[in-house]
Amino acid sequence: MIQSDRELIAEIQSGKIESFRILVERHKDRAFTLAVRLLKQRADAEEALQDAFLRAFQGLEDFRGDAKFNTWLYRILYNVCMTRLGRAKPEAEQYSFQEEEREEFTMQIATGDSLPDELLEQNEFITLISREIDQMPEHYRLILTLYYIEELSYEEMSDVLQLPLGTIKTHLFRGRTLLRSIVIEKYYPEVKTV
Amino acid sequence: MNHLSNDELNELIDGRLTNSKKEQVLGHLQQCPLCSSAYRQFVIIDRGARRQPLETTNIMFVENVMRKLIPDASQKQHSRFERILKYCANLFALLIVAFMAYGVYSLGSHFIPGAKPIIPQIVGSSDLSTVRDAIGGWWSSSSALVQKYLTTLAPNGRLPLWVYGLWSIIMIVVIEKIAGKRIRHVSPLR
Repeated sequence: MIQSDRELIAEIQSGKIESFRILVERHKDRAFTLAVRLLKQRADAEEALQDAFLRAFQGLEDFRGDAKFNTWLYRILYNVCMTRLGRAKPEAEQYSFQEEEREEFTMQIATGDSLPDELLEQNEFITLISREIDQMPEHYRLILTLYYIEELSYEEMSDVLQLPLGTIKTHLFRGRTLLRSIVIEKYYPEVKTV
Repeated sequence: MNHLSNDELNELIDGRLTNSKKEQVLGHLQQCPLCSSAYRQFVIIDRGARRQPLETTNIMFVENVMRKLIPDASQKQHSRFERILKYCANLFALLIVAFMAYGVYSLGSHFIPGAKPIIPQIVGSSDLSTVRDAIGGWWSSSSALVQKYLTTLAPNGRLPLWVYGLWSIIMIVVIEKIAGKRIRHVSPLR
């Protein structure tokens, strides 16, 4: 029977430290993907993740289960990565859109065909999406990773990044729109957007 | 015809529209090929993004994390070894303290008028005083000041027991701090 994170945490809190191994196994790859997306270097990302797990373990005593374990872990990891990048946690203002950027995100409606469903069967398509997200500005990269890889809800992303829900929504929508424009313009110019 | 906004399309994809709004948006998509095409593009890229491969950590990652939480077998053995070493060091320190205390006492008794050296009493010969003076000679000058206080403290040539006890404790603490290694590991849950 697969134990839930909550059950494992209860075991750890009662002294069964080995249960933490299962938590690490369960969450390491998704969390590592987030760390790599933020830090860009795999070695740095692995150190940051190890640090985050150790901090999470030390903080488990006070973990009350108000948030899910993965959300809590990502928040710790995000803070560790920001510290490693040598800057304070980005403030909401840093995420605000510049006027010149705004124009990029006006409504774009495709005039031609849509992308074919078969693309989803091609690994190259998935790889290029991943690569393009990797090259996007940090705030979009971060939001799109939390949404698509970590599968967090708007509320959970707001909790991890300590940003208002409206800001999260705005960045997600704009990041997604930017991704769509880049992918189509770069790789599928025959499917034009206006 | 007013086209759908990006926000409306995004919220439709994320399933965050109210039922009435969703009906309205879906109705528009059925009638508008442009919005429908844009929506399809969003959906395809959205599904592609959800299939992105995960990065994988080093194969030893979990072990490395756990090793920092729980000392492994070799570390535990090492800790036991360290503990034995520490006990030996303490015992050795105690012996040194005892010898030093005895030395001071003997030397004190040498300088204190009327006090009798204890070694000759034990071994039944006063010849040892020569050896004792030879060994004690090198530090007799530096201990003269100490002797002055010892004389005050021990007018009959015997220091009170509590002085020996206090001295022993101080010495053990000092040696413990210098030689004794504290076993450090990440404490489970602090």
